[in-house]
Parts: sequence; C-alpha cells; structure tokens
Amino acid sequence: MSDFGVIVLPVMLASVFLGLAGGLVGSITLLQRRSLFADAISHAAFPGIVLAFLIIGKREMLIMTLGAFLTGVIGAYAVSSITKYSHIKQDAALGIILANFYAFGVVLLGVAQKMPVSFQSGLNNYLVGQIVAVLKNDLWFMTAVSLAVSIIVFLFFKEIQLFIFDKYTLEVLGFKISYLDIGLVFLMVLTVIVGIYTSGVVLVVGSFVIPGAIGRLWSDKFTYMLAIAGFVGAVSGVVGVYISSLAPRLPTGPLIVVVSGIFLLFSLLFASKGGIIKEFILIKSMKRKVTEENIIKHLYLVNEEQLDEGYQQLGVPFTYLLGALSTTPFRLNRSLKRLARKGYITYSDNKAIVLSEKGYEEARGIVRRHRLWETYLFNRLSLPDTHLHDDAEMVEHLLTREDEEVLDKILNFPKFDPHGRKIPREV
Amino acid sequence: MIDIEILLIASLVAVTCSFLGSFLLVRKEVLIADSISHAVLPGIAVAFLLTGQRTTLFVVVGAALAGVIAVVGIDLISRARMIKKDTSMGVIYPFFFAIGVLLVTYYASRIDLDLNCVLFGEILFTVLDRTYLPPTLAAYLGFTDIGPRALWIMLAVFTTVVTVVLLIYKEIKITSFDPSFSRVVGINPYLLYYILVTLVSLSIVAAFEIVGAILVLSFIATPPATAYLITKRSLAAVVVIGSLISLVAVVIGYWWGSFLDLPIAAAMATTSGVIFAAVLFGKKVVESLK
Repeated sequence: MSDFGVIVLPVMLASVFLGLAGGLVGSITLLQRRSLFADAISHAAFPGIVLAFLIIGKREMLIMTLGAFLTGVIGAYAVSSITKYSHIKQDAALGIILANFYAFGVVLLGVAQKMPVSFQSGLNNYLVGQIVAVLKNDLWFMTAVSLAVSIIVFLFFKEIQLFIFDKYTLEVLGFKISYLDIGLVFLMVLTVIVGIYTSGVVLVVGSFVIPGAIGRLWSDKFTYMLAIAGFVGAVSGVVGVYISSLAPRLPTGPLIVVVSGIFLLFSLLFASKGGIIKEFILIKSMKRKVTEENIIKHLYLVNEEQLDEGYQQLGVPFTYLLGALSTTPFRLNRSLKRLARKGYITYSDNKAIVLSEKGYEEARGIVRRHRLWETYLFNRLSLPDTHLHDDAEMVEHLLTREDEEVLDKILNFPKFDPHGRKIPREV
Repeated sequence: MIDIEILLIASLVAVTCSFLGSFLLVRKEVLIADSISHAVLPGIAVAFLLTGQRTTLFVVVGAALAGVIAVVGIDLISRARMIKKDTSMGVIYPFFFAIGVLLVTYYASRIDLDLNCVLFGEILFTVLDRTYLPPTLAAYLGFTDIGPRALWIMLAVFTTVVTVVLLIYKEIKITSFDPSFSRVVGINPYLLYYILVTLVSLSIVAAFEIVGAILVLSFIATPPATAYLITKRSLAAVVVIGSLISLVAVVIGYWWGSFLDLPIAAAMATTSGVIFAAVLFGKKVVESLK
C-alpha cells in the first residue's frame, strides 16, 4: 500500500494529467496546422536541457525546464525569422531548425559525457522518455504544470476557439491577436517540454498530435474534439506507463505513442467523421442515388414529348436502359428493384418499365434542376452552351429543393433552358 | 589512414543527402525526409532480426521499403478528409519510430544496433567494420582489406542515386516546378515522387548507422537551403553549391569535433547549421548596405 502511495500514485497522476494536457494542446496545435512546428520546438528544446545540466552540474528539473524553454522559444523564433527574412519555405526552415538544434544538443551531450559518470547518467532518457527515471518531486512538478495548462485551456476556451476559427470576431471584441498567438505558442512550448520527460524529445509530438487526430476523426465540434483528445491522451499515458513499469527496459515514450497509435488505427477505420468505413458507405450510397436518379430521369426524358401532348406513357425495355446508362445488367437490375420498392416505377404487361406518379414527380424535379443549372451557368457565368451539360449531369444530384427555389428566383422563373428545351414545372 | 576513411564516408553521406535534399527543397517536401528517417527504424530492426547481421546492401534495400511504406501511409491518411498532410506526418513517423525503438530495446541482445547509434550515429565505429576480398583474390593481389563496409555501401548508394537522378533529371525538374504541365506531357508526377522517395529512403538507411536518424535530416535540409540563399539561378546550381557547402561542413566539423573529442556527426551537422545562419545573416547585412 505504501508502495502505491509513494511510487505508483505520483507516476500515474503525472501520466494522466500530462496525457490530458497533451491531448488538449495537441488538438489546438493540429487545428492550427502547427504539428510539425511543435516537433521542431521539441528538438530545439533538447540543447537547452543539456546546457542547463552543464551549467548547474546536476539534474534539476526546474532549471532544465527553463533551459529547454529558452532554446525552444529561440527555435520557434528562428523558424519564423527564416521564413520571414528569406525565400526559404516553412518545411525547409522547420527541418533546418529541428535537425541542427538537435545536433547542437548532441554535441553538448558529448561534453556532458566527459563529466563524472554520476552526473551525466540518464541524459539519454530525455530523448526517448523514461518516466521511471524521473524523481518523485519532479513528478509533482510535471503534474502541476500539466494541470495548469489544462486549466488555462479550460478558462480561455472561448478565446482559443475564436482564435482558431474566427480571428476577425476576436479582433472586433478587442483582443490583440498577436498576444494570443504568442500565448498559445508559449503554452505549446511548455507542454512539449514537460512532455519530454515522459515521451522524449523525438516522440513527444506524436504523443500529443495522435490524440488530437483521434478527436478530429470522431467529432466536428471543438468541445467534443478536445474532450476526446484529452481522454485518449490520458488513457494512452496511463497504459503506456503501466506497460513500461512491467518491463522497465522499455522506454515510456514509444509505449505511449504505440498505444495511442493503435487507438488511431481503430479510429481511422471506424470513426464517425472521416473514418474509412464511414466514407466508404457514404460514397456507396451516393453512387446508388446517382444511378437511381439517372434511371428515372431517362424514363422521363423518353416520354417527355408524349406526356406534354397528353398521350399515354410508353414503357421502356430493360435493354434500352442498359444501353443508355452504361452499367452492368446486374447493377441495373438491383437499382430497378430498389426503385420498384420505393414505388417510383412499375412494370407494364410486357415487362417494360413505367414511371409511377411518384416517380414521375421525382424525375421531373431532377430534370428541372438540371435545366435550371444549365440556364444559370449560361446566363450568369456566360459559359458557352457546349459546356453546360456535363456539369449539370453532376450537379443535378446534389442540388436540394431549397437550392432549386433560389435558382428559380435568381433567374426570374425561366421557361426554357439555353438549348431551348422546356423547364418542367408544377402544374 | 583511418581519418581519411572517416572523412570519405562522411563526405559520401553529405553529398548524397544534399544532392537529394535539393530536389526535396524545391518541391517543398523537405520534411518527408524527416518522416522517412524515423520510419526506417522498424525496417532496419526487422531486417536485423531476420538476417542477424549488420547492414548489407540487401538489408539496406529491405529497410528502405519501410520508409516508402510510411510515405504511402502518410498519403493514405491525408486522404481522410479530416486530416491534413502535416498532421499525418506528425502521427505516422512517431508511430513507426516508436515501434522501432521498442524492437531495438526489446531485442537488444539480438539486434546489433543500440539506441545511441539510432540517436547519434557511430561514424567512428563504422571504420572498424572492414570489408575483405575473397581469399582466392586476396592471395592473387597480395592484400585482403579493401576498406570499411560502410564506405562501400555508401558508394553503391551514391552511385545509384546519382545515376537514377541524372537519367530522369528533366522529368524531376518538370514535376517539381509544374506538376500539372507534367501531366500534359505525359509524365506521372506520382511515379516521379515515389522514385525520389525511394532514393531518399535508400540513402537514409545507408546513412543511418553512420549519422543516426535525426542528424541525417541536417545533411538533407541544411546545405541545399544554404545554397538556395546564395543562388536562385538554377536547380543545377543549387545541387552543386549545396554539395560543396556540405563538404566544407564535413571537413570543418570533423576538425573541431575530433580536436575536442565530441560526437563527430553532430559536430558536422552543427557546422552546417552555423554556416546556414552565417549566410542568412550575411545576406541580410549585404542587403541592408545596398
């Protein structure tokens, strides 16, 4: 029991709150498209850690954090200066700062390794993360910092949300955009540095951004995204640290990243927003809709003139539709069955296909939207009449009834489309 | 003797990296090299486990596949509407690297590649691993030691990279600067991109045990960017000047690194960073004087 209170509890608390803060800050970083910027900062913080160690001669977390913060901020400033004062682009600037600050850190590490062994032991742990190597008091320090970061995000939630999605409103409300920007960068640097002690310089960004990406895949709402990311971050932190305590040889950082990575793989497949399976179903149902609408449209077009002149609707044979729609007999048959179930079509005595009253209304709507769109492109965008049809073929499936009313109004209720065909209307 | 060999190995790494880096620079794809350099680690670890020996050319090719797979993964994930390319790099490479680190530490007894090598490179040790001629040939020629294995692997990769790039130089140029035009003239920009990615991956794997996973990015990103500050005249000029700068960084870095007995590869990388900063600063001074 005392073991639990003395060793396990501080470690668990630190990993929970670090994971939470990481998930929150990771989401914000991801939405600002600064994931790789954060990566460069974590590497830039490395020489600061070693430098602080060299100056005071021992591992003192507060001082090392200050050192890391200093070089991290210098790195961030250097990235923005390079892109500002030269024609070097962001990607190259990030690569240069990341790799060369890290290289400088390795050189300093070489200096540290010349010191007596007791001093430099464990500096490697900052590269891949090893929570077991962190002292108890330092664990409380990390818990406090990550708790503070989480509370700041919570308190300034509205401002951060506006900063990411609607800078203009924020400006109107009287906030200084540049101050908020600097504040967010500081918050990010701080979280990255504290994260280094568990996840290591190389992987700390992964331990942030992966939960952020998971949040993004499950929700369109900023609030939910943050909540999910914070939760996943905390769970991955705890599980990673737990496995690391069972197999102390394995560093903590990679374990946390692999655990959250597995959550990410799962989310990529099954997530409600942009998960691969969900996307697949969406595409499939869209394709179905397009085929069905094309079928009834053809049935309508074949009969358009007869019906206008008050004659009976003619049935259309299966083979005709097959030729007109360039699909396979199997698919066409399936679509026809679905249409029949919905009551859009019926079969005449000689097995020809006939539109029902309901199907006729539906088809007329599609043709109307098609022709309205052509008219719109022709009148408003002055496209030549040879360029109208292909576009309208696609758009007719996407326009809603509301769109249709708006178009009709804008065009002042036209009677004919640019090809001189009648735009069908409700009687 | 050994000094010259180290310098030769480092020069080959530097020139190969800076050569490919120039093309990544103009495509604004420098960071894909960062992703690849981390992502090849599980490939290298698995190759070690399977073959049980240090890097042979066969292992280099196998491990390079891991880098290409990571790039495919990055492309696939960024097709999910919600995730942009930078994020997908930021999630893929830590995931691959994490698996690699776990493999290397878990199978420490079976993988002759410790974490120090992954993180810092072991350029000084590479010269200890020699290549020998087959006995019959050695008896005929009278000597058997033909230099470090790393030197031969680097030489093979360097030759491959330069040959392939020279063969498709025009196509690379077109796809880099004007992907839509390249489609018009019938060049598939994806194919070219993946050829480039494969070459980068090969070079990184070959350079891995020499300079480590992260320092290799310095060799890829810094010299071409420095060259780009000096000249914008042509891609060829960036390639040539970048290679020259990388050689200067290697020599200076080797000099002070070995003088102070510090990690040599990191000293070389730091030097190229300092050269970049000096050129950037000097250019600003010159411009303000005008």
